[in-house]
Amino acid sequence: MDETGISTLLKGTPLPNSESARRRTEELAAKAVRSEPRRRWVAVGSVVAVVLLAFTPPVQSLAGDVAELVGIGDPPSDDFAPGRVEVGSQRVVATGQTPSGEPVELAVTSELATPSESKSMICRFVSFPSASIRPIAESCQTPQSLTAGEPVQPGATIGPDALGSGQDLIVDVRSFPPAQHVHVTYTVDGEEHNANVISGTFTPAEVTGRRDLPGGDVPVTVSAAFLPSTVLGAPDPYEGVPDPLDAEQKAEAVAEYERTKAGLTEIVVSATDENGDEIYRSRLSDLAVPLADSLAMQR
Amino acid sequence: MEASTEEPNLSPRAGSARERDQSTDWDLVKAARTGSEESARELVARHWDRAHRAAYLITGDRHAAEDVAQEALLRAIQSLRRFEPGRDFAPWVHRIAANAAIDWTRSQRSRPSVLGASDQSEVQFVELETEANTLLASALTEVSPDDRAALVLRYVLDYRAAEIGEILGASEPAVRTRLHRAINKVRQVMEANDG
Repeated sequence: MDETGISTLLKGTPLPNSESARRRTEELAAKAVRSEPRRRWVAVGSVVAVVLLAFTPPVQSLAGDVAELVGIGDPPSDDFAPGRVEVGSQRVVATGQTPSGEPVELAVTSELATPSESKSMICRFVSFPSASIRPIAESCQTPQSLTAGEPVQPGATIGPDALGSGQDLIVDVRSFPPAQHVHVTYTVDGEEHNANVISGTFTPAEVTGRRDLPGGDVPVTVSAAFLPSTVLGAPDPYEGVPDPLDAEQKAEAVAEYERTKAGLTEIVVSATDENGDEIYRSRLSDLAVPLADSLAMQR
Repeated sequence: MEASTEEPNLSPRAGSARERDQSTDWDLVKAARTGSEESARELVARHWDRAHRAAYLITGDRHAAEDVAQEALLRAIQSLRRFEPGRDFAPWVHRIAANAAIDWTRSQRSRPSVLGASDQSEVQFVELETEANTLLASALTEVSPDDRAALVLRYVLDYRAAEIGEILGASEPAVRTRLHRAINKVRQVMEANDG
């Protein structure tokens, strides 16, 4: 078969029906452009409100309300990947603010990853209700795998451009056994910084409604930490490396990225119990690959 | 009556379907920047099919393809203010889609527990109707995500090697190498399975 034949086949490959996804995307796109002018008004209004209220006692409580757009246990302001698969109940497990003050919700949801097998997955994600940004999915796991393996399971992703480089590296942490507090620090050029962290604890059964699932009634803590992506420096570990890459070359590229990236030397996640005693600590030296993947996709 | 030289009426509250059909992407981009919801919808409608097809052929997963196409179009829409006059909208969307699809496919191989992984770590095409399509799908699973993306950009979206290089961040010779390797692999696997 020649190139023309392959081209014809590729162009004629039957596609799954994506009509509903397209319509959903059209609506999200309309919402995105609709919110642009409105957000500017909101920003102007906020400045005026702060000026007027800054000298009055209630300003503290008003500022606190901004971060709590919905209550803990309520459905999140934004749906997680609506319609992607069959999504079950969704609930917010923590709310807070990014370092620049953007309200953020940390939520979990159940979904049927493989509908034919009715296999429940728990997905955790962050969303920014006041911004026209799609929720950022962090990861999905079965209830059983949430409580398996290492006590701390970190991941990382680059947040949306709209958040700005000062806060758009999001480290997502799953902690089991659950923790009272989760702390994330990062060291740049020898100086340690505290990351802004929001955390919440839930049981998969609360989300799936199924206590019969293995691991379904075991509490798990999930957290999201916001770091400035500027600490990462080099954008693409594969840049400048001859193509094609084999596995060994990619490993070398990642190692080179480790050596040349900006002054970030480590990210440390620790968790404490209700007495403030540290119950575990993890140094995230293995974040290079997921961060590199995420960066390569975004840039 | 002289022909109007005014731009199409694409204010947030106006603009018929026929007017939008005759508009260029740049017209729609300008209107969407001012809050025209219909223009944003039209941009998605125009570019959905090709972005979705590319994403599906690279990922081989129907849910991932929808996610990737949606992400590509929404990220483009959300970044319209950075869009420069004279640029084409489609390559911008295809750049995001191709790289997101490659990233997703890589993640399935290295991190099977992340979003959308389900339980599958291999490319799985579904709903194929002909034997030739089935053979092609089987062959595509033997091609690396990067090579598959080059193949799709060249033979589905009709980009030239230099343009593919810009989209994928690779040199033109590297793209030609990828294409040559991918075509040979597809042909080889199809012929072996056909026999």
